[in-house]
Amino acid sequence: MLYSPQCGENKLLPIIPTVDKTLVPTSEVCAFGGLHGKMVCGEILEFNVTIQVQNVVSGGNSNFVNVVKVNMNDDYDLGYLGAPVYIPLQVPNSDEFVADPVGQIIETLAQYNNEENQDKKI
Amino acid sequence: MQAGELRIESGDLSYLLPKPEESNDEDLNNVTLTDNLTTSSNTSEVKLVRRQQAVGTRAGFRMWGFASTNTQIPVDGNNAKRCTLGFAVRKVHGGNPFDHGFLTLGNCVHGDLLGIPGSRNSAFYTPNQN
Repeated sequence: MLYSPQCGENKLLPIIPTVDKTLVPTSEVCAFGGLHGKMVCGEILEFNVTIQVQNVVSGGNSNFVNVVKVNMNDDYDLGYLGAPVYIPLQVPNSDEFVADPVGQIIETLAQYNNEENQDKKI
Repeated sequence: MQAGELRIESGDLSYLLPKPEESNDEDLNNVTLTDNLTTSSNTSEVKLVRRQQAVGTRAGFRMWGFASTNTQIPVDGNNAKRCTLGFAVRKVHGGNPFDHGFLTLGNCVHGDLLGIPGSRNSAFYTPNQN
């Protein structure tokens, strides 16, 4: 389960994976976590991106392929690394939402671009 | 680890949470570890009863990745980094299966916890900081 402010307040969303998980450019994806424990959502910018991420622990680099780049609609800090990414789905004929898991945050754009101030909106 | 070994937990995950009589809203964000000391009619007989630990942990909670197991106080960007716990998973096939775990980013958790020899980093969840 995930916290999510869907319906105007923080509440727990049950995680219900769907069989058909085809992402489209208009898909809204959300992530919960970060330094302050809040949900941010965004629109998909690009599919199938390949990025190289520096591993600050081992000192080496890791390559990620088929990455989905998302433009978030709110401030987005480094603490979101590893956070669960999901699509909030409203249950038909109900006010309830469920979370359809789609992935995990592996990098922020500011971090990818090695910008000086990495804790900001991307 | 082969693909498909990890399964994202879904649906009713209430069994992962503390039982109602052991928890309230405050308990869900705190680790409870209590030793109850009880005595019988014979005061020389002392029974030490260890209560079940109740840890309310969910996907999306903050975690620390340490640069060394010797680290006592985490300082972000120095000897530790802050990340977020991913989806709750269980490993049902392959070696070392487990029922309760969380996806984490490899850049947040050092290889020592992943079985890579020679690495020394550790990671843990800090409930009071979420």
